[in-house]
Amino acid sequence: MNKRQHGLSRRSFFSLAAAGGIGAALSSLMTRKGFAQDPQEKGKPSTNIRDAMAWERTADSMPGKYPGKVVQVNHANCILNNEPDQDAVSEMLRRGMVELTGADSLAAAWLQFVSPADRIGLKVNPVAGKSLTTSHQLVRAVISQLQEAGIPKDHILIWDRREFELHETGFTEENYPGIRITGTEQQDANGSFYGPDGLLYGEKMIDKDWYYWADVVEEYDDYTLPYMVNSGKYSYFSKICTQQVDKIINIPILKNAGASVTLCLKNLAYGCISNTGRLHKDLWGETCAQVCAFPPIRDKVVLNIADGIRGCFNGGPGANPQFIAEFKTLLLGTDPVAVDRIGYEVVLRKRIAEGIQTEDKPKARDFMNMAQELGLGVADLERIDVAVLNLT
Amino acid sequence: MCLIRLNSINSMKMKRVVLLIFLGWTTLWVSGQEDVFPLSTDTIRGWEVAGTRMYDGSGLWGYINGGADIYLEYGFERVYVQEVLLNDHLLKIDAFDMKDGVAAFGIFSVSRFRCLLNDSLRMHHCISPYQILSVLGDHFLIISDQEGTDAATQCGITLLMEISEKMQPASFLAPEPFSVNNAEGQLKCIRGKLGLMNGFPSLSDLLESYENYTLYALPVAGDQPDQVLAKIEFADRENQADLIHKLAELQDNAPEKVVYIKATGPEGILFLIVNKEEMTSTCPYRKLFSDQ
Repeated sequence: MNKRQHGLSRRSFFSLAAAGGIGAALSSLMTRKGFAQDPQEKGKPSTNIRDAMAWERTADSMPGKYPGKVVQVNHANCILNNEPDQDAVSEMLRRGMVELTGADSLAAAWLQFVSPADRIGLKVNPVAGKSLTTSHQLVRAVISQLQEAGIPKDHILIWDRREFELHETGFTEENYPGIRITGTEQQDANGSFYGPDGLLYGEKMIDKDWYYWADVVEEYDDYTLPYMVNSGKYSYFSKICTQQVDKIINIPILKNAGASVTLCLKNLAYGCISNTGRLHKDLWGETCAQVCAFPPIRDKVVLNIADGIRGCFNGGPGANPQFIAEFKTLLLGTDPVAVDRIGYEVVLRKRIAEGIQTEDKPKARDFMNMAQELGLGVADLERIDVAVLNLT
Repeated sequence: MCLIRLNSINSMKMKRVVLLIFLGWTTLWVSGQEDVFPLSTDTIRGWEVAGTRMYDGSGLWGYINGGADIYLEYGFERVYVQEVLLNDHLLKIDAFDMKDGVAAFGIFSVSRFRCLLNDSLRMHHCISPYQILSVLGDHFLIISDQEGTDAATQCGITLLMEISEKMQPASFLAPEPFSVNNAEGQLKCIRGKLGLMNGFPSLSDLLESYENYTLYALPVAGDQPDQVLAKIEFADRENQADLIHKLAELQDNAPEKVVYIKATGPEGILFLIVNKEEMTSTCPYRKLFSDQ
């Protein structure tokens, strides 16, 4: 979906809003309890979250077809010789998809979320490098099963923020023939971030019609700017999600971030916008939740497959070998908040077992609660329906 | 530099003595530290050096994304990322030049986990498969390999020894009452929220509202991170009074715990939080508060 399907571009939307044309219609949305609360009301920097909530939800909007449902597929032998085993991972995904959807065939399960006409983006997470990237075995299994369901290969795209990180971790067109691999931030063959016209390649990849505004500024030096694309108070959405894909399958890797996790919401939020460096300190949780409330993400992400074959329980989101664990699990769901909540439990149990912490830190779950308030999914553990499959 | 090989010395006691001698000796050589980064083939003869990259300031976001935040919190200057090759073992070295030796020890202290130690190495270090962490003066070093073999690890140890010999770094000394042994073991040094979340989450509720401090925290009852001896130095004295108040409240609200508090100078506090049932095992630490 893109902005045209909403019948309104962002610019025309704000022109109308400024003229008072739809202000009245929005006010009822904004006054619902717990709805789109500006962080400023909690003493934090202000953001434009209310803009996001003004957009009508669609049938595909988060939390998707199965709110509050998570399938956890464990496989004791999914790692062989220190590598994920392709057959085992494919079977985990197959069983998980059928369990999640209740479909009578694997193809039918996938076709609940995508169709052959869709351009499908697989949002992976390679940022921690080779040792802690979304596993290739899982991505290959997704591609293979999509093809079995009739999705043309050239409708599938693998993407993340930094194209060069994808390449460094093996997401290359050589390893994935016929699949487009792309990122928002790009370098050319000479390692330059700038094209012959003097513009950042990343500048051409951002869509200035869609942005997350936050009252936080970080001025980047010349060296840092190519990694952020722009400075100032605006973080623009990547054209990859606003223009180049119709559906997104989110494939994060199970990692901690302090006592919290970086999983579905973080992978989407920080992976889809520019100028993220400024958002870490004061608005980490808000960014994770609020960016996902904007239509380019909220209405396009149809499925989340959290890769917990390997993950980390401390030192994340970077890869520190001493904290990498073989969780040997996949978490599937259309509801990214519920998947994050269950993933959080997996990491928390490991952290407690390893003596990193002694108990749950509720504040570490704030971003999930924020996402729940925004209507993106279910964060309350008792309201999440978890189906656990144990394979051997 | 005089090399003292310790491979044959197994007792921790002896190792500690030698480390103390070394620490005393290196203190004399603080001004003689040599900055050897980025490494060159002149620095480490016999090695092949390839692919040098440097990231400074917030440029670290470009290298490790959100993982940069904790380095920036401690105080980060620059990192040189290099690959070196010896005897077919390819190693990657990340040499983080931190703001000071405390910052270097701090990021090391929250990064180490279940370390193997090697008696040949006379700096704070932590060996695990695929990786060696170490502190050399103001530098935090990560030497990593893709093999996870003993041979690759040994190669990393050799590299670390060569760098150390060239650098002659000052060693980090923890403040009183913490010992060299504590610093070698589980002592954490923390300067902000991210350090707390990664290194000592049990203190995050207590300390989350503060900034501009240096905290040393040591678990005092085995691996139980909720029982801690800690020393904190604030940049301003208002926080000292505020934290003393919070610690007193903690004692009131958690009757199963005993909290000992002692002001250390105008901006510092030494405090001990233990479970009542652990009073015997934590006795040595309680003596620090015997004048209370």
